[in-house]
Amino acid sequence: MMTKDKNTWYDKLLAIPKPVIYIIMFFVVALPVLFKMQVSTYVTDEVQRIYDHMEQLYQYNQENPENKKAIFIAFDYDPATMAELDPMAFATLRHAFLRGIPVIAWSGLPTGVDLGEQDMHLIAKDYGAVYGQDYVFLGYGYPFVQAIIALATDVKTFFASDKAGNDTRDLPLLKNIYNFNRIGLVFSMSGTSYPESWVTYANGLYGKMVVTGSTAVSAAKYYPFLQTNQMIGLMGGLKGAAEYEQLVERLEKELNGKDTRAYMETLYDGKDLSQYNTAYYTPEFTSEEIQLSLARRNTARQGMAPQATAHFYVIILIIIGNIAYFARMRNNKR
Amino acid sequence: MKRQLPVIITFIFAVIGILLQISPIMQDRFIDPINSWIASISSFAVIIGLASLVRHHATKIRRKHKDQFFSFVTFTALVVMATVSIIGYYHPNSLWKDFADNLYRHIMVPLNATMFALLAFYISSAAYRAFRARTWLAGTLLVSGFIVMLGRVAFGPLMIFGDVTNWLMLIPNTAAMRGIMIGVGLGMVATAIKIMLGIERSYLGGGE
Repeated sequence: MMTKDKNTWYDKLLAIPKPVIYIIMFFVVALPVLFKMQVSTYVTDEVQRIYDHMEQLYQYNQENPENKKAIFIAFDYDPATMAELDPMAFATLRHAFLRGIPVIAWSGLPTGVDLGEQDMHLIAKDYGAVYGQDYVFLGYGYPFVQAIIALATDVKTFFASDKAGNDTRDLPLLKNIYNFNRIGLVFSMSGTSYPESWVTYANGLYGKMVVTGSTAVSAAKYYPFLQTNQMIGLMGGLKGAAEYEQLVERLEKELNGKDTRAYMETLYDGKDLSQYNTAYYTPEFTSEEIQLSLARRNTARQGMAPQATAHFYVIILIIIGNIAYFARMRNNKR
Repeated sequence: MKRQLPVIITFIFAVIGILLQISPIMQDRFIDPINSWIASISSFAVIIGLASLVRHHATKIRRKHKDQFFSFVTFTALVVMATVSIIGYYHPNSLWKDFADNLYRHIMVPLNATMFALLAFYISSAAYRAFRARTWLAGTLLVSGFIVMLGRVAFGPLMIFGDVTNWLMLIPNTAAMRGIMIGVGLGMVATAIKIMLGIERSYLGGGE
């Protein structure tokens, strides 16, 4: 009977225990985070198109100040996918607030409601946006499809109150903008198949331009919609977020100057602070808050560094695994 | 009648649904009331879901199932989270609201995020042990995966992988995905027609 020699190099390689692979992965991801490594990336057409449409919306609002159009953001994700999708939400909100584009939002997932609300107030504070005038968070859009369809007539009939409990009829923003007629762009950020529903209803039924921010694993299924212009743009995973982040950073430096810290320190100087409700955010920054806010502007690019090292590690594992596998196959044939 | 009535109701509402989609007049007049109906009915789904969850875990505890500990955890989480959140909603400046926010931010968020983060470890193990170019199809998948992984983090001299990744996503991926989606779409239409006409009745239960 033939006995197998277990001491060959390829058998040893194929027998590397799982915990070793896991521990190396842990360090591969942790070290770039600890050293605050940052990776810049190239901008793809599908992300550039989102940016360009936002700029067109800004131009439209400049030309029609009495008839402004808003963007609609659906925070259709929960904490499980926030590492990939939060940076997209940050960058999109930054772009909107920088350009004074009104924002209406909700979450299609119960576990994403608090996340969406928190993100909106965080970024609104960085630009002095006023709740109710510049942005509104409606809460939980349930049932999902009916909530989308409600946007065709009057969203206030579906949401009697917003997440904070305000009567939606009392919110100045919703007095003017309450349906698809005055919504220029719909963003759905999700790790689920919700963006498909936005395409089916918001685009298919009401002809609205839909943009999707999805996790990297889900992005592949949205490319057919891009080709048919049912989606006008796509941010796929951290890379998509990093691309948008770069574009928005360039715009921010152009508009607010290169010293973002100085801009933030003086943001609320001389402003009428009575317009800000402290239930949403306090109109002043501590030095720690400024630090966090500056860091938040690079979230995706900082996340790209561990993603890059993790990808390289997985590629190395695949190569080693295949070399060892084929060496053993070859030896067995002999 | 017990089985015929739901089928008749399904048929009538399916026809209304179709008419709503194809007739702008119907849409203008009835879309809001129908939407409110659906929202009201869907609210009952939450109650049914909750009742089902409670019954499932109560049975486990009653029968002293070996995993009954987790049922206790579920009940505790359900009661505490619901109670604190509801009281916090009606008293936004109270400690209850802070407690609810903290439960979400410091328990729910890390637990949820951790579950997804574990994927990195599973993928590394799977890549090493299972991702083999055993056949030419598997080889193609492996090479594509290889290129996309590099392309997604491409910079400097690796930019060629970025360009190839874009082509892979825009052309072969779009073609394959479109085929899958058309297949799924046709299947959905076929199933919808079967349900509407009462041919498919498994949703009524009863094992028939």
